[in-house]
Amino acid sequence: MNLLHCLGREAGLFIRTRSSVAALALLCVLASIAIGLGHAEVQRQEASIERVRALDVTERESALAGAPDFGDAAYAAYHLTWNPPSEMAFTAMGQRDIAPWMLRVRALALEGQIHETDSFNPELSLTGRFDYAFVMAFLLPLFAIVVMYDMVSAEREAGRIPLLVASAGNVRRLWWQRTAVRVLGLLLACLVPMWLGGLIIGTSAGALLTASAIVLVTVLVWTAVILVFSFRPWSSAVIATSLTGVWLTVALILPLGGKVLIDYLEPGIDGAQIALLQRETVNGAWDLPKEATMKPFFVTHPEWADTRPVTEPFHWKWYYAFQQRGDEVAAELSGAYRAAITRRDELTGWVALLSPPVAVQRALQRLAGTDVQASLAYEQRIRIFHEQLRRFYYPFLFNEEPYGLESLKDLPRFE
Amino acid sequence: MRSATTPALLVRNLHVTRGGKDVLNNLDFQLAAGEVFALLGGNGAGKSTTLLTCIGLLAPSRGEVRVLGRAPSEEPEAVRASLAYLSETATLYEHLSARENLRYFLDLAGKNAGNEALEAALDTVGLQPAARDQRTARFSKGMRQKVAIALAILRETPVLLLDEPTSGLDPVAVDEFNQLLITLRNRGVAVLMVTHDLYGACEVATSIGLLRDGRLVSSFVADTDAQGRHRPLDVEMVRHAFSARTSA
Repeated sequence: MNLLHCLGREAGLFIRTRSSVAALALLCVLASIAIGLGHAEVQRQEASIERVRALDVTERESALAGAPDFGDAAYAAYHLTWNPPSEMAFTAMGQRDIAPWMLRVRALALEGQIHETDSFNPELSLTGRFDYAFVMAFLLPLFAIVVMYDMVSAEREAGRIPLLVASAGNVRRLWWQRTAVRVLGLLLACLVPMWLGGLIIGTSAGALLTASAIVLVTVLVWTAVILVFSFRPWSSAVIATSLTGVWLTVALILPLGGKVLIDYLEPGIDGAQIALLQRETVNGAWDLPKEATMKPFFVTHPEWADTRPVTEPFHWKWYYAFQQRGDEVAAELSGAYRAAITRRDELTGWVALLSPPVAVQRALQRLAGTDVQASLAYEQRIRIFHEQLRRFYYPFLFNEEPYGLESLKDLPRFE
Repeated sequence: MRSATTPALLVRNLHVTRGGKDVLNNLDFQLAAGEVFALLGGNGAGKSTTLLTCIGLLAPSRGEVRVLGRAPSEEPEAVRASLAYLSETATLYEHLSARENLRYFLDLAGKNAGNEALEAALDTVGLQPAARDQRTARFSKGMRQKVAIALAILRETPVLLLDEPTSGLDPVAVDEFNQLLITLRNRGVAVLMVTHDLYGACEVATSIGLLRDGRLVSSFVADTDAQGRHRPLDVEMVRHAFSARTSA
């Protein structure tokens, strides 16, 4: 008898079991809702970026047109930076819920601009987002348990094992066929919504296949765990309780314990401290002799050391020099901040080795470009762009060039 | 290799140990095609253990079981393909109808029975047509037993293992079942039946054995008439002998 025929027979038996079909249908509905919500959020973010990009151009043109000099232009002109959602972002919002994906920056001190939103309390980070990654990482295992935990014990409790053995000949093969049907059911319930969502927004087949592979591995890992318990000579209730305990341990207790341990090992740095240090440095510079700002500035920017000294009470090049100094003073703390985030991310990776749900969520966020590294990479792109802005304005400021809009045609643009 | 003289079921010097206790102790019997061996005994005597060992669900600690010359422990699939099993509780899938249960278990056994054969088997066991598409959850025990017997018939296996097949059936259903068993016997099916029903056993069995503490303590073989047909065993004689044995 060929395998497809056997799987068809077992699928026929399985779909007549209302509770199992209801469980798979609910999983499919939850995955669909998660995909729908993710899709809506991606659309909202894309629409926001498009809308603000259009406004950004007109507002900057207006600011530049009204500016009397380059210092004023650099002060008034905002530049939009953005981190567009990837083609898989609809599956895992990850850091996009708590880290900025759109930031308007000026040529002033940057660190404060990056971290000024850190003082806000991102409400979503408290509850977490109901996205596809959450469903796959934390809910899918529960549904796998529901459809598989009593595969053997229910037959034993019904006294059907001898009849099955006498009929099937090789009952082990029968269990594998039944397992395969349940695995296929779980995969269909999980993957169909994702593929439909992906096809609607034009996600590449490669990305969808990679995400499918992650879901497949998730289902297989949990199937292996469930089978270890299912084949024990225990009652269905004991097996269900044991598996729920395993789920609670790896999905709740280990991640929470891991977080406590990570907080202890690497408490991290509050981004607001960076903003505060940079602001205090900048604000303090107003009260210092100009030499106290310009001397260290020329150490890091010797190309402007021979320009005319600042003798006036106020000059833009002094102003931008102490903005620059603000970033330089905060640079060490900012680097430590990023190193701490990276270290915490690495430690979370170790926790993921013990907690499949954490591993799945990280894998889907990595694929979706919404993980910690992607967030830091966007932050780094902002720094690079900001550096380009400074390098563009400094010659005009330090050489005290006359202001003209035609000089701004090469103004850096964030891409 | 099966020859013309190979017994349908051979149990020789069988010992089975479960949980450190000897459940079967030096059990010996054999039956040929067209014979019905009824194994009687009290609870815990080892009757069901004998059946489970024949299927290969339990392994002998000593001795051997052979079904058509094959040992369940060595060729489980071949052995199971040649026997049908009917449990006391006829544990069908309750969310399936009678027909669906039959189709499922026949397909599981690799047996492709057509609709006509299926209906004929259900006719033979006397399951009402109106009940055949109903979920078996609504069935009485007798109705479920009929479906299970229809399955055994449809499998057309040379060996049939029955575990308390008439337990809980009403007298009419028991009589119908016994007639059916005689029909199967006459078709050449070898039947090993464990039962508490002494009267039914005497009516259909070609031989009866009494099992006590895992040992076969007594056995009777039915006479045959001039045409070679088995005569029913004398219930009183068997009961008297069993009473003497069990009180000994």
